Amino acid sequence: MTADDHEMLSRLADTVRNQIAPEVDDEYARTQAFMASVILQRLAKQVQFADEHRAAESADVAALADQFDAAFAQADAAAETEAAVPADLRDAVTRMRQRSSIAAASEVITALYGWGPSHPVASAALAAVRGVLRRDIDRRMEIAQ
Amino acid sequence: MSAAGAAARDDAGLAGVLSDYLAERLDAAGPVAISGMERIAVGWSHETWLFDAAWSDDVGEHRQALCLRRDPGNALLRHESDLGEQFQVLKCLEATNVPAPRAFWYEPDPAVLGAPAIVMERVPGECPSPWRSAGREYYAAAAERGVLPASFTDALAAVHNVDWRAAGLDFLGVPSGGSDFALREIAKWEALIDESGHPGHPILADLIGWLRHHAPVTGQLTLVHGAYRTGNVLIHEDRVSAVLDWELQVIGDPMYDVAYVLTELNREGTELLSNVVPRHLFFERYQQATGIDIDEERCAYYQLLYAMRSAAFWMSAAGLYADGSNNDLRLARTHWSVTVALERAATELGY
Repeated sequence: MTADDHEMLSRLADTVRNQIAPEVDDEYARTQAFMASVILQRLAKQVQFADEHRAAESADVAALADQFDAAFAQADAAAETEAAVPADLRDAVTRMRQRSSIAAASEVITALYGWGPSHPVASAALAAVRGVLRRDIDRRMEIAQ
Repeated sequence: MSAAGAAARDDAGLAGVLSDYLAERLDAAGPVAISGMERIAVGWSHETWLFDAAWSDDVGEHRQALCLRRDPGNALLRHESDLGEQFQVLKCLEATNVPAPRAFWYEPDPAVLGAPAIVMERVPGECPSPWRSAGREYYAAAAERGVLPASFTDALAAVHNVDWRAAGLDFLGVPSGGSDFALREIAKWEALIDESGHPGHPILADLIGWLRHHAPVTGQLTLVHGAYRTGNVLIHEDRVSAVLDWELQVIGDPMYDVAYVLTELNREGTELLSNVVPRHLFFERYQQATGIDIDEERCAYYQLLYAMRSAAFWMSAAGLYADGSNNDLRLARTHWSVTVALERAATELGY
């Protein structure tokens, strides 16, 4: 979709809200019309921000994966490390990098909790993931509100 | 579906089907007259009608205000709010001090009333929505008068004071102790999330991981309503005449309900808990009536569990629209409510 699509959806939302819904007598149907307007507005914003959000997500995921790789290397090298970095965590980070998707961070988080979130490396890693998730949810809120 | 069941799917035909249904159960000498039928809930949950029934029998003439709740099979929380269970809970509550409607009949066969249904007493009272300004004004005025805040607190205390084993409510399932209650709730909402078909989000994985890792030990088990707030209680002459919406009840930690009263989510722009109770009054009166100390740390934990539950609700709701089970656009809109619930969870987790 293009910027024009965003404008079209936005105009549709306005038309439904301001011209169609007020003319509907039945209360349930009128509520449905207003809901349709709200949904069209959300979709308009989704189209508007799609490219920008996708680029930001890819950059965040790549940076996060790099941070994990550095942390793993440090943990591997440290003689005092209490426990080796679990294989499922390494695999989850690899998949997250390959997919270049925030959604793939779910597996990483599950692996971190499996390792034990109080482990210093896991705790730092969880904090790093949360920083990325905060930015992601803030972007999503631009659409949801 | 039978002819009666088919007729009952049509609002106009429902009165006739109900008349026949009630005549059989009331041993009426003639037809049962149905009047004042009004459908009060559309789309989200169970279908609900209010009506009056009038009949005569050997004893004389009778009139009863009734309420019909019907499960269309495609409502929000349809798997969590079985009408048969609701009926059983209401029957169990009849011998307790909990203000609740008396349930008369449960009809599981959709061929009879068009869908599984309960017929229950219509309790006098009103139920203003706390999400609308008129509702908030209603509760603020009631708070000023001072009767409803006490009554609202007392009704919750009555729920928590129920001797649930004696009342026969252990059929709801009894947590085994330790952290089992919280873990069971997490598992229940996780199942709803899985079933929703929603792609989810890593914040949810974080939230679930955190909740499992910090699940509190539950000492005392009580009956828990699961959604105790204004909007889910009926009010008559400034008192709670009935606790409604018996859809999420469990045997569990009473702080689960208390957390729902304390949460900011259930009040907008007011310090009054659930829009109606001053905090100090709630604490004093609840603790005195139940002998249970309010544990704010456990309540804070349950606020996060509610964030998970909200996300699960909205995922399930959006899924109902997405898979074509329900055409209500209010459900479709909740696709974006998931984001709002997750944002709140992230904030409460400290990021």
